[in-house]
Amino acid sequence: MRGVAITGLGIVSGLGLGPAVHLQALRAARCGLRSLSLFVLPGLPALPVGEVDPELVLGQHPSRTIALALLAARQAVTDQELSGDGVVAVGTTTGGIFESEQHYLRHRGQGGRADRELLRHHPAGVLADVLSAELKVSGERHTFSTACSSSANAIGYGAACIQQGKPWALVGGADSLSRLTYAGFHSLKLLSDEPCRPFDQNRRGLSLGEGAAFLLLEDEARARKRGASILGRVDGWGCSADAFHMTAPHPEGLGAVEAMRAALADAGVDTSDVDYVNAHGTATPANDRAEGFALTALFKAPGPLVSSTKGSTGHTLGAAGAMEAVFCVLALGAGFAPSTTGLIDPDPAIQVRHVPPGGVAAPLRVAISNSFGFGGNNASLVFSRATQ
Amino acid sequence: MTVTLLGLGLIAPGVGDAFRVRNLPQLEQARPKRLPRLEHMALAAAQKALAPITDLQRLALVFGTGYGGLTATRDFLEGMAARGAEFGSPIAFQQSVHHSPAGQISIALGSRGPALTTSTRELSGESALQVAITLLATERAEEVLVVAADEWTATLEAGYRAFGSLATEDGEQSRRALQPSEGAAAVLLGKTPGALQLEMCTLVGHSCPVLGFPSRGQLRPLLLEGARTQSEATSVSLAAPNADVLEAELSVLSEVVPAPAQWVDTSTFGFHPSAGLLRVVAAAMRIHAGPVGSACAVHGLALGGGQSLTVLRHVRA
Repeated sequence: MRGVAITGLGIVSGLGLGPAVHLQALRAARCGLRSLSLFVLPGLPALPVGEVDPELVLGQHPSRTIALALLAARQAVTDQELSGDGVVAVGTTTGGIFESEQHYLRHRGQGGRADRELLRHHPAGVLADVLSAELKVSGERHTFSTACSSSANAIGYGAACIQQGKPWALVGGADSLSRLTYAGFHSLKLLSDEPCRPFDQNRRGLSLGEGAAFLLLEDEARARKRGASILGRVDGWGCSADAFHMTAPHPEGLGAVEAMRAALADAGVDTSDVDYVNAHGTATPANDRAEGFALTALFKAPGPLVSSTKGSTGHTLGAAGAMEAVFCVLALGAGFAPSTTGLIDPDPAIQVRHVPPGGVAAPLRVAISNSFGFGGNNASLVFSRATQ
Repeated sequence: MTVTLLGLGLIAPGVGDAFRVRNLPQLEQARPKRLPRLEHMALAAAQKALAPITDLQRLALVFGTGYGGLTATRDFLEGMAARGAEFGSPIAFQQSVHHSPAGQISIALGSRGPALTTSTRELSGESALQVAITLLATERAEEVLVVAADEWTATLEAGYRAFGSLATEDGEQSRRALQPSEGAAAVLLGKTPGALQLEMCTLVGHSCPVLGFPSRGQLRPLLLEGARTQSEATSVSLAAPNADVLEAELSVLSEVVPAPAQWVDTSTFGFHPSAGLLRVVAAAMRIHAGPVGSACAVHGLALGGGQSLTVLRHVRA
């Protein structure tokens, strides 16, 4: 894939709002995880989560997920030129569930119009419709819902559309915290009772988060012609299926290897060209180990620098791929690889080159972002540094 | 690039079955044994569409669904409400994920190619088609199985009712009433020559209320393009989600001389987010049964402003 320029970025998470705030937080290895306060679920503890500051969301939109998406997408398109028919490709796992679950829990499937507004934005696809309308952009709309790789696939698809001649693509994803996902991951016994510690031998599971991130992709020639700042490039997209288990990754990470291989081939780069990997790194024992095996199988020692930023943001599910894409672009631009917040004692079974605590300044040229999801779904994206 | 339809699958309500799939077909493989209804419909449609020569391991899959596992979502929330948040069912949780049917299909078929799920409201099937075409065009796949499925649930019907989108209680049919339904469809796409070609798949978006369809003025340009740019053998399959929209579509087509043959499949398939792909499969079957040169433009519309046009043609193989 060639000539897909990134000309706009926007992001909101438990760390705050905007790329600059996030770069600063990553440089400081700040943990944005705090005890859950968005809702109370009797019988379940308020575990650490990456919850967005309520002041940021207030008055944005009746749907929390859409509110998050609007906060991030508006940043990505500020002062941009979006004429012509482009593509709006978004990723989300649960769409408007934060509101519709309240309707169900209050009314339990009874008919009637009471609180019906809680249902209006339930379908996942509403996100792309509202974004398009609010940002006044036209073009085809797609919502990817491939669990935790949703927005990574939205980015890959948008980049492929640029490759096929579309002038621009607004790509990204959003997911809010919800009772369904909080209780759901609890039911799978995957939630950590302390802020998550990806790749640590004492890791105890994942921490959930919420947020949104968007990137504006453009044909590079178009971007240069209009004098846009090029922040980085999307060079490759690879995806695969494990065909193994609905919730567990392939133990040897075979699908992950295939996704990374496909993304590198798409980018036309060798494994030795990769300087940094933003790992999926959820901090569950099975996921981290499978990804570690996959990285070891693909990269010759010492391999690229590896970190997971979920120790800072929590696992934001459908938004994670886009948030971590933004982190890759920021890392490439700043020449700084962020460390894995919470990683103290690396799991000896995971033989990767962890970014040292506090991060490291390095001339990063090429980065990979991994996103793996339920159903054995794997997506990898390759990014490169902007060259003016 | 030529895109060929290599296989078709359809799981639809039977005549007189009140828009429910009453008899789920037997699956070809024993594993997995107890699939939820949505997964079962999706896998059954997928198996019907697979040509015997398909390289299953490299097969790519794009699944479309508007609502995903609504029954599982309801079951999980019901468990929380009835027994407490700590008693949500882990099985229901994993099945509530929109990508769950795609995961089950990948596992059942042993396919390790790209597996994607799109949830693009009532254009979920057409969106999956478009994504599949992009996978083929960018050499990410040689063959792509496109599947779309949605299930009817009482909870969903209650939601439609809450917004006045069903027939009124006294039986007077509103012109904006929808007929909720369910079903699944599958299309195997490839680049090898064949008798059924997919000539065009275009999606556009219009500015529209979240629960409104595009207006006559909005839907006119693309629908006219579909009806006019084909030969005399063209037919048009109308989206017709309700009487108001059908009237708008017919009004646009009245501008075309000679008028193309028109199909309204809503009375068979009802209204659900995957119904567009069911209509694509029905159109493919019709033109395949007709003379070489027959074509059909399948018009799709979604709540929230989405519009699609998919053009199929029967060619000499």
